[in-house]
Amino acid sequence: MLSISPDNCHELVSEDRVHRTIYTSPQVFDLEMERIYEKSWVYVAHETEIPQPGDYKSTYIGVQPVIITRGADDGLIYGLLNSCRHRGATVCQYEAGNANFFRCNYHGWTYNNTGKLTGVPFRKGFGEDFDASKLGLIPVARIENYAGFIFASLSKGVPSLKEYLGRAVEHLSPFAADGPHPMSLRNGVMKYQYRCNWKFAAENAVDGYHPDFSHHGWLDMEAERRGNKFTVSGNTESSVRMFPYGHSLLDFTGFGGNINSYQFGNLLMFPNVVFLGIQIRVFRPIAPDLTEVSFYATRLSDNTDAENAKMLRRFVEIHGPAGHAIPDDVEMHERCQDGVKVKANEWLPFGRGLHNEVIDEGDGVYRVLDSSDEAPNRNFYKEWKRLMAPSKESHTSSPTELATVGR
Amino acid sequence: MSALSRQEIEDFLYHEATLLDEGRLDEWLNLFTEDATYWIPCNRNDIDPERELSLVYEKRKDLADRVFLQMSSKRWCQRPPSKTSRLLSNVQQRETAEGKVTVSSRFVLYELRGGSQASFIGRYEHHLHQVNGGWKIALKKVELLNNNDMLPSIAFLL
Repeated sequence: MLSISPDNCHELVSEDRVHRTIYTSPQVFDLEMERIYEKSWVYVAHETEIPQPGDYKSTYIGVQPVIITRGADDGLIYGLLNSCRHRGATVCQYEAGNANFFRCNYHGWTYNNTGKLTGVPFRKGFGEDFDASKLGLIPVARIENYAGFIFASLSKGVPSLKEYLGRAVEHLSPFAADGPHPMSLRNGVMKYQYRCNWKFAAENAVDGYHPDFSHHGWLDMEAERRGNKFTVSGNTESSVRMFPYGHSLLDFTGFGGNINSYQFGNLLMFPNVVFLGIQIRVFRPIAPDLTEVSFYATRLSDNTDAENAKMLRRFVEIHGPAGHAIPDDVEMHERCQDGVKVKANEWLPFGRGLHNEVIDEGDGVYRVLDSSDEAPNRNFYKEWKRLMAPSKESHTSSPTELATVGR
Repeated sequence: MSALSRQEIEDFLYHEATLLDEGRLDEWLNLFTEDATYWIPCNRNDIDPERELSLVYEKRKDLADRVFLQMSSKRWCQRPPSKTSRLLSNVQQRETAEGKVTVSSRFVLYELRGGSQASFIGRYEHHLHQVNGGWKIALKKVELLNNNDMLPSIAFLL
């Protein structure tokens, strides 16, 4: 590989292998932020996190801080970049709350909770042509709600969210507000530091090859102490399901044993969210070798308190920094991050299962009856390559048009 | 004897800390009552663990499974194992009832693994109950100062 440039970075991925530098290069990371995180739909919130007018949540799209708010007056959902239009300081310091306005504490510029600039101290000093109407918090280009899941994009040029998510949402619609098991997400969040590239975390969620090996200790404990035995790696009773735009499902049907209630599988939505059944894991890339992963626990409104508490205990036991499963995954990711510094080990293969039979389910959806097939990762990197390829189009967010979604 | 002196309380806590730092986890587990709870809240210290996320919230039976896993040769995130050293201070007896004592202490814990060092800081709350003339832990609550922040793996016992 010659030196990495904006013109050739997409060549770091081919159909069945990836170049080691996609995990290490600061230049690739910067291009990913620009070409993937600014040009895809990115999961930002669940509507139950901001149920009341004035509620907000602060999060990130790639490395850029954003605030997701529910308008105090209109109840609509807004996505606002968390950066004062004066010196650029963040205007919201809390992860969640309720506020009618956001005030930058540096020079006192004040915005209402839909982003409009409503207060500028000593305004006269800026002269007569100062136009506050053009200096609101910059809105995201698109924000849409599907079945309670709120996605935002910094690019106008993305397809509709419905098209983007496609049939992958079939797995989530039972948990929408109007579905049989409405879910609620306001139960806290665990934030976990992965000292690795964000893609190692994403790949792992739909990697059905690793569990029996990475999680050997945990699976032994479940079998020996609890009589709870499940086979995961290479289970042909189970399958992987691929969707357009890089999404995929590691289908847990057929694993046996009790992994979790409502744990239909791990559904990876490109680029930054995994639905572990109904529990949610969100990746935030910080640097080529540093990622923050947030775990959100879900309650179902048709469950009893006891059932929800049981589901929560199982989630806590398995996931998070002190869980039985995830620390072993993180250990492997961190070993990978260290090991991919070996220059001679240049190309890393993702060809497992390339010769498996593919079941076409229509609409670009297909399934393979082997849970250890690496098709989910080939599907992920196909979308990565598509977005990383150079394009003449330029999509930027316009500060004058406000994107919102209804209740 | 149904009360504990400060000296006895400190001896108990230091003994527990020593068992953890020395990896004597079977002995450590035996310090707990049969229905004991081991709890590390997440986000805030006053959460309802039945409704909100904790980092760990488990009864003795599941804690025993955790210890089993901790000692497994296949628990890769502990191969090699973390080395820990914890300092306890500010030991205060908060409430006393017949055969029951609540103790608050502050801790600083350093973990060394794979050449990198992490520190964990916070407050312990121990509910000690008198059982058959001795004292056992009915609740150990670990209030991490940064439990609302991004945390590294906590694959050892706090």
